[in-house]
Amino acid sequence: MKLPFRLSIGRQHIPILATLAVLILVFAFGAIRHGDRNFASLYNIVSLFRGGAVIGIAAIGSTFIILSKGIDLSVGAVIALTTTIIAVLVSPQLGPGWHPAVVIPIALVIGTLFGTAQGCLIHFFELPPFLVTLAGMFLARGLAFSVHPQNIAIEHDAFHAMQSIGIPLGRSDVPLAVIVLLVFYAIAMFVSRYTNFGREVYTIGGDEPSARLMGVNIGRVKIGVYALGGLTAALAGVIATIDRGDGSPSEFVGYELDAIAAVVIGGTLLTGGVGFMIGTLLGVLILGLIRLIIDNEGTLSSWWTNISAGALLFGFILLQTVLVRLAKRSG
Amino acid sequence: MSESSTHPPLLLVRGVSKSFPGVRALDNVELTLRRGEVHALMGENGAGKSTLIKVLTGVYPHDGGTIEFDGRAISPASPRDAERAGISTVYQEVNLVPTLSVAENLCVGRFPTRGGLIRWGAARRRAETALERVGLKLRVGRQLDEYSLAIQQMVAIARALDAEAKLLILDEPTSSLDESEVDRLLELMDSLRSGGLAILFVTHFMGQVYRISDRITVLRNGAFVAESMAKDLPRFDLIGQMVGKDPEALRAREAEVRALHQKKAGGGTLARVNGLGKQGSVAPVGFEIGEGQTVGLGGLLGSGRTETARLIFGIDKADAGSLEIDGKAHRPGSPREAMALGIAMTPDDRKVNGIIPNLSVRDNIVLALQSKRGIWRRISPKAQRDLAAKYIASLNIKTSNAETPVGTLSGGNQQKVLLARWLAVNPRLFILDEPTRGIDVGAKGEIEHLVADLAEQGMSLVFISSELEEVARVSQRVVVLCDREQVGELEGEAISEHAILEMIARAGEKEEEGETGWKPVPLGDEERNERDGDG
Ligand SMILES: Nc1ncnc2c1ncn2[C@@H]1O[C@H](COP(=O)(O)OP(=O)(O)OP(=O)(O)O)[C@@H](O)[C@H]1O
Ligand SMILES: [Mg+2]
Repeated sequence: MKLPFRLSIGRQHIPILATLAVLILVFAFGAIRHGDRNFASLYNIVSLFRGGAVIGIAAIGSTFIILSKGIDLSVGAVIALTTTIIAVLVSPQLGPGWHPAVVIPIALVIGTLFGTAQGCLIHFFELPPFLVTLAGMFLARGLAFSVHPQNIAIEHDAFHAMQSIGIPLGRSDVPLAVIVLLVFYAIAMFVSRYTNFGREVYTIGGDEPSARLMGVNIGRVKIGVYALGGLTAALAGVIATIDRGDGSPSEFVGYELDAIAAVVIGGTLLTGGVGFMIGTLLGVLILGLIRLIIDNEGTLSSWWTNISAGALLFGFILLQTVLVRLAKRSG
Repeated sequence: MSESSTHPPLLLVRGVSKSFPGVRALDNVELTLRRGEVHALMGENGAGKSTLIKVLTGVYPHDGGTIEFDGRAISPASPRDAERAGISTVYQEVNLVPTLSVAENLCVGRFPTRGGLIRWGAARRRAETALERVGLKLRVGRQLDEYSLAIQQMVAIARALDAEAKLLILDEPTSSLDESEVDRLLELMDSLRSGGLAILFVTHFMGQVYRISDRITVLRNGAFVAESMAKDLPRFDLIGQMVGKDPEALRAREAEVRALHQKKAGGGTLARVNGLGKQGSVAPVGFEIGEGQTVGLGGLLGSGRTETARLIFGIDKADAGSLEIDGKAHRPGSPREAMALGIAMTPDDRKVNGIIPNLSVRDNIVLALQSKRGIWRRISPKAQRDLAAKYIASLNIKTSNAETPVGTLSGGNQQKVLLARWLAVNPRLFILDEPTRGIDVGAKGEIEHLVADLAEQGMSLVFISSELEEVARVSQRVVVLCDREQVGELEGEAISEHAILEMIARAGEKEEEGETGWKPVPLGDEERNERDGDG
């Protein structure tokens, strides 16, 4: 039988299809169970994206890093560092009182440099990413506290203006955080699919020695993904600062783990080389939906969010293991 | 080749040396390649062939000497550099990424782009064209590891051919190909040679060397031995140069091995395979294994040899029949159960199933014995060292010492370490799946000798090899398989390569015409599955 188009679903698509199925199931469950509370309303969906924006943006970098067979534990601390730096730099009392248009680019550059430094350590000294980014996590957190030890509320007109940005959609507004989230996912999907850099990330994640023999510049790609990780963590920090209106050196603890969870639930293999950027966004949404459902239940304690996220994560890791086994047997 | 006098050589390697900690892998090597020739690089395992290739292509820096390519001195710093200069390489380890699609494996590093963006349509077409050259038609969007090792090997070759190269280097490209695929590759090499491409070819298959190559350079222990025209170098002289022995002595030794194997096994029956089979893997097979007897499994790639071995060793659980040992019927469900029965097996793909590259030679050798004894009864460090020393000596494993990571040994020596691992548990029935793949003639002889010695000591062996000649030489009984079915059995005097081939051919005819062998036509899913997983 011949199809008029090429429908090619290979082994690499199974995890992402599983993710999609879970998303649909969880959403359908919520919509049926809490239909009386407008679970499936546009407003609810927009707030779902909004709630996932910070982790979602940070998880872009984590996805690239995990695809390259690395890991980044510094994400949460870099977000905290970024919010603190921004808050101090825009404040006329604590800092120079610069305009956010200057401060935000500075924060992004700092995040990128931080990631680049981690990448260089990992590449040139062949240190394990786990340890380097663990050290990076402590370092960034420490730096955040040394910049300023307490939360700093931001009073700046530009921030108020940014908070009220919104594209009207139905009866609700799509806030800046969601716009940034979607725009950057679009860019990231494009980069991962249509650029040499993107494909080389998959290549070194799949088999680094082979990648070297195939002529891939390992150093450039590796340092690149960690630089990107720093950049997206800082961008997540910017969005968090705008959303919350403060700088908070002690917040965002464990965000790196949420990001990793979203990546894995999104169907990216921790063993590297297999996965899709869009999957991570779906993973973020799934985690958000679970939270939403449990909040709506009312009687359930919020711990159930973690328990179901844990179960889901476990299921996906199991699925990955099975797939890797299958691949080994026939390969 | 006739123009070689008028043209300067394409590649001139002079005095190149390379040392690794504890090993001098290359010592003043020279190599001269002319345009339009196929040049075989020969040498024992560990002679330095792959190292020379890696030095030429910038994987390793070299310690001394010069490389002149196409009229100018080069010293590539990476494989990418070498490729830009016009040297395209298929390394010994299949250098592809299993998790990428076939198309990407062909295009990584050279994607067709417009404005910096990848054009996937063009990439797929390019991949398809590249595959067509090697006679493959695959779904290029599929992940590479959905295809068998042989196809992956062909994809690697297609990738190398797809670069605009002046020199093509093939390091043991045929080790996982079956005969018709080899034919196809050699034809291709021939036509490329006519087009003026120079090809450096490494293999341990003597037949292929003489079929295709114009010149032969021999290395021994990292040093240059000789360069000769292939037609002026008789086979035994070539082997003599490789192992550093007198050709006459070699002839005598081969005769000795042959004689050893022809001795009849006197003992009783150790095991009986009673219609062991598994749906979708191999139809029920049955044969007897005598004590001290070597049973060969003969057949082409994909005929069910490996599958049969996997059933006996319990890697796959049979759904029919039984394995009778000491009069009791068993059906091993895991290698552990099989080991308890005194069975051992070396897997066919040492990279995937056996060797742990980062562990030392010693660790790799004691592994199976340790796991048999359980973690609580540790083998003392001294016993470990003794064991390692014993096998390094008796199998002549080339390593600087027992603590060297196995990954740094040459391919053939890794294979010997694997053998040592299983010999250490002292099995009653030892299954050898392709023990001589990628092994040089000298070591092949040694392994054949070893097989004879083990049989002499009363060990029973099942021997699998794609070289039917070898199967015929070492076995006292040969079970012939074709299309995953047992098609016959040969014993004693009746065994010969010819007889095995004939049996396979007759079985093939019966099936229907043209159903065996290699097809250059599209490999549909069903056919692909049939070929998957066999070695
Ligand atoms: N990365 C490495 N580190 C240390 N020693 C190495 C390394 N690579 C190769 N060697 C050593 O260099 C020698 C030559 O190895 P090489 O792989 O070139 O042999 P070969 O001729 O290709 O053998 P084979 O036919 O088995 O593939 C061996 O003694 C090997 O142990
Ligand atoms: Mg080699």
